[in-house]
Amino acid sequence: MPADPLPFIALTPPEEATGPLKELYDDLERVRGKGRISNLFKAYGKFPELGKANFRRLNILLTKGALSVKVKEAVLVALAEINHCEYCVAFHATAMRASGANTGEISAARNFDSTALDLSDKERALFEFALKANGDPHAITRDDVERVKSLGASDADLVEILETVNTGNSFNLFAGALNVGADDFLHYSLEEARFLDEEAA
Amino acid sequence: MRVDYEIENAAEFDTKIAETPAVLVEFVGPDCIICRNIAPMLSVIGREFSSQLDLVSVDLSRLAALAERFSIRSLPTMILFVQGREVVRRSGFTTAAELRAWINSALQGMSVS
Repeated sequence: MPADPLPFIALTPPEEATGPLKELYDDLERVRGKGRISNLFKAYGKFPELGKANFRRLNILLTKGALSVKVKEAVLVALAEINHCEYCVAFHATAMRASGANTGEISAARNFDSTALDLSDKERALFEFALKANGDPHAITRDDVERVKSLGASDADLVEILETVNTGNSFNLFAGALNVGADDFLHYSLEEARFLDEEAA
Repeated sequence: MRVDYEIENAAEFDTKIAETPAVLVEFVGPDCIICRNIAPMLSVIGREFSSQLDLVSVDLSRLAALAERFSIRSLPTMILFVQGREVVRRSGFTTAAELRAWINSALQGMSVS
């Protein structure tokens, strides 16, 4: 059966947005550029206050904190792969490349292989910690925590990497459950991410 | 060598274990959330180790006798068989990195080709 190309809920176009929804869209354009309002946030826009809170959360995650954007995008790529969200893989692979990763590193993130990521030992360990926490948070032991701490990770680093997992999963869930995958705004990501397929060929 | 598929019955399981140099068997169940979470990791591992082992899964809700036979108490449980013999096993969620190290350690010095 061919994939359904349309989102499962009605997404309000920018020209019809008013009130809190327009405020959300304005925030998105202010940060990302004119016209760059993703379907994901159009879906969140059905509850504009929640949409604004989540966009703020994403921006804090990617612009604040002590960890590199590269390690956080690597985790987001891996999660997208785990969650079978092709659109999310393309988006975050492109973002990971923008953060300085090469094609081999993106492939490593997609294959859950931190040894091929050009990161510090601490960030490689945090990548593994994130994947383990995502798979089963109750499988995390004090030894796991001590191991990443022995490589220099702080309590704040643990919070930051776990919140990366939370954010990735929640966005992947939205993209999957509401079928908000393909949209004009993010076609550039899908186009740019063709290198992923070219590399695999 | 690798064929990634679900074992249908005990006879097929026995044949697979006996006739394949190395087989990683994942014992799973339909209500096992961790089994679903580990699936992407195993898929990658299956590809990476395709020249050394086969990867198969056994749904214990359908083949309960195998759970008894191998004393499986929790899911998922993974058992690596080499030359028809159980070599190592582990249960619960495991990252791809942990699986790589575990398999490499188990296969070290063994001829499975």
